[in-house]
Amino acid sequence: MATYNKFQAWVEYESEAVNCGSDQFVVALTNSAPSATNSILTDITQISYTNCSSRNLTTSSSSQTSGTYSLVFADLTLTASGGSVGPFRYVVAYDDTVANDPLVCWYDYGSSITLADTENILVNFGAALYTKA
Amino acid sequence: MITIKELKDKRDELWKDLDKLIPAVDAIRDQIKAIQQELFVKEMTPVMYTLEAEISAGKYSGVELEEKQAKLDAIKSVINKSGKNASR
Repeated sequence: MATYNKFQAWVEYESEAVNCGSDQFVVALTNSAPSATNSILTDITQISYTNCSSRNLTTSSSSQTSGTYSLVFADLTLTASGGSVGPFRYVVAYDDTVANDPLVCWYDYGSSITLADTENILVNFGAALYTKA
Repeated sequence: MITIKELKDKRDELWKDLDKLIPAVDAIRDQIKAIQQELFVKEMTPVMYTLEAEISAGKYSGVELEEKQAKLDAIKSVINKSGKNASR
């Protein structure tokens, strides 16, 4: 299972500029380890997406239960088409609606992988992308 | 030098401008939310049934079971809330 990591600056963006219920969240792929102190998309060295399927995420209505807020995302299948995608090791989620594309979190697959033409990978976000109590 | 009163007047003026813009933005956000919700239900209903079947069949145990159950509960919560709970 990939390891979840949070970008520190996200908590500030989330309070000041973000609407989790309607913003467009997207995943970026990188083969260079992100740092928790990275804050916007340009801090990440992305791979080429020429042969990659859509990286847009589907979010459900975000909501709270007993004071804990959760943001749930649908699983995302990334497919290589017309050639390979990668290598990449880290999947980064960011908010594409807010200016400068703030980074939310990243997952470490543990090793670099390359999708050959027609291969795919399932990005499974678990119960929630993140929670806030 | 700008006074405190002038700063507060300017702030009030900008808040009024913001108040005028927000309803239009909210209307767009509401449409997006509705589409996102419908997409989530369509995309995750098969995942929900698969997870239910796998958990019932005892495919997972320990921490992995807890994670899968938490995910299933989250998906069910969203789908049930949408009022469009798909049937098999």
